[in-house]
Amino acid sequence: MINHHPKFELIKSFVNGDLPASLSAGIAIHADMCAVCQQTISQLTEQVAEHSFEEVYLDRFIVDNESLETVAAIDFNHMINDIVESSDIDIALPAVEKTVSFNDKQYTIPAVLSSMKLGKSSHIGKLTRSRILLNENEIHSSLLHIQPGGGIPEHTHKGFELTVLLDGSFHDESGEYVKGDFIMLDGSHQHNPVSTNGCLCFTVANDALHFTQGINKLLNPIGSFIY
Amino acid sequence: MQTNLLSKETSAKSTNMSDKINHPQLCQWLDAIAQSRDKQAFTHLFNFFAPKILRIARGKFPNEAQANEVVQDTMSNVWRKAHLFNKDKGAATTWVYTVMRNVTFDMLRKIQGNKEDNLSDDIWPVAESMSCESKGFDDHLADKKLLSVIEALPQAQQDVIKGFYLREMSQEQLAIHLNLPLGTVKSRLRLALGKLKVQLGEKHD
Amino acid sequence: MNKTSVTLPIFPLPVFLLPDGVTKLRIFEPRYLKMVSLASSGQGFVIWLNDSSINTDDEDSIMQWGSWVDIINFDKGEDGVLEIEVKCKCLVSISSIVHDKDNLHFGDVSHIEHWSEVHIDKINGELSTSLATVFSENKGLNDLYPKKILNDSNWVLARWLEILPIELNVKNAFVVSYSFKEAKNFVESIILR
Repeated sequence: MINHHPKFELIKSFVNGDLPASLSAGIAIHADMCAVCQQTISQLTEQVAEHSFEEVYLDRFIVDNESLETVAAIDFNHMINDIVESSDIDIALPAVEKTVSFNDKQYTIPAVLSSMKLGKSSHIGKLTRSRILLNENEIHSSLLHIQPGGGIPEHTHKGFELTVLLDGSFHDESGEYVKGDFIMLDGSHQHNPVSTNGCLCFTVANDALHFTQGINKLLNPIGSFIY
Repeated sequence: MQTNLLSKETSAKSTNMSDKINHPQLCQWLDAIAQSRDKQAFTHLFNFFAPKILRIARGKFPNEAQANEVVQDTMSNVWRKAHLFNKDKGAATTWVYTVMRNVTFDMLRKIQGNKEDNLSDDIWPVAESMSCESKGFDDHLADKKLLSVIEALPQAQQDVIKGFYLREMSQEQLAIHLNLPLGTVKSRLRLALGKLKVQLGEKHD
Repeated sequence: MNKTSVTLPIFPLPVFLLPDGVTKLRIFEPRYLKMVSLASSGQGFVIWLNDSSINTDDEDSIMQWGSWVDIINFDKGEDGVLEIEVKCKCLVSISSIVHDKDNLHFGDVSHIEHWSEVHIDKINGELSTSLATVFSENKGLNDLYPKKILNDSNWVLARWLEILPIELNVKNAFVVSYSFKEAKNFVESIILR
């Protein structure tokens, strides 16, 4: 059963469209597997939408009422004519399922990620990572595959690290995580996840990891490798 | 994909929040656009939403031209996608909000990262029915009698068929061809299928 | 269905094709390339209408059938993939499927009769003209049929069933359950005013 969900604050930003694409995708993937969050999201969207188109709420945005009205008066009729001139309609294309293979195993890519480009995959030990090329500067998103018995050396985070389990399971000091779990960690966390039977994760992190065990310091490049 | 189980409670609450918004009217306009490309209905809808969208956009984009672009793109998507709106799945305001938020999201991404990848419709689908209409393609041989001997189609093969050679008209194409509103075509299809089932029943009796 | 059966390669595809129907396919998997080479020197192959929406729970009314096709044209697409055009010569029922070492499947098939293989020189005015318009507006479709038999009401009806946007399980029923009469009523109630 899914035990880890995004915090309400995060869902709110998601609904408002304020999160970067990587985190938005993480929440959408989780919501696809989690009926509870899906319902929270649709109820919140309804409320936010209702609010947005109410007059009272809108007064907040008025910067310079008069100039706005002038602009509007000129542009709007033009715009309407422009728009209705087109007889195009957008046809909803059937969703095309995409798959990705890691170590000879095929996984279906969540629909949310289907138009995102994947970089080449790189391997180290039992880990395989494909970067998701979202171009979000210090925020890096990846598909991370862990072979059975593989794990990530103990580390903390300077920024945040999001893991959404797409398939399989892993565990760390605080317990077991399963498919659909949404695990958001920040700098105060320190963990050493291990996957007994292998798993595939969607990960988002905004900083290189900071390894805490002595020997792993030598392996520090692994941090930027994994996340 | 999305169930959007809007509880009665929420709907009631939001209705209280603003009795100024005439939801049935908004739905009717959207429907008129979907059914008959009704320009008058679109003008009404535009007059209701556009000034509000402009004000919201001015809050997010200091640049006037960009805010105008949000209005233009949102309303133009409303015009082109009205048939994807399903009033059973939620309010018209929710749907237009989704369209507006998606346009804004893609534009911000374009400005900040210079990326024109338009990811928003994947994150927040505007058409709930997309997955339903394509359900015939999922999981091809799931419960086939011959499953034991023939395995599922390779993905690439399916894509090719879907993309190019499934020589089938879409409902939209049929509507254009028959010069009828999409809604009429849909109900004709439904009626025709209903009649068929009756005929089959008679034969079996 | 007491005709002798033939063993033919089977290509499972979600494509509904009635006699005289033509479609284009892209072939790139090794086993299906092998199928094409067998088919072009032999007796063609069978497209097995394949889709999960076709209900197989009802064992009695279900029939495994396919479209027996000949390869009538081939070409290399821009991306180098083999493209073939196939034309359905008749419908067949499929039994006892086996597969070879390349995982290409073969089935014993025997001819089943269907109204769409009968040619009737009878004009069905509006369905024909409407279909002619569809062809003229869709180049891809138009190119598949250099010779359109628009004065044959069965041919016209079969093409309509192929291109109408209805689910494959319904199309399937026009082979396993419904006769010409039902098919005609169905298409007419959609197309005609």
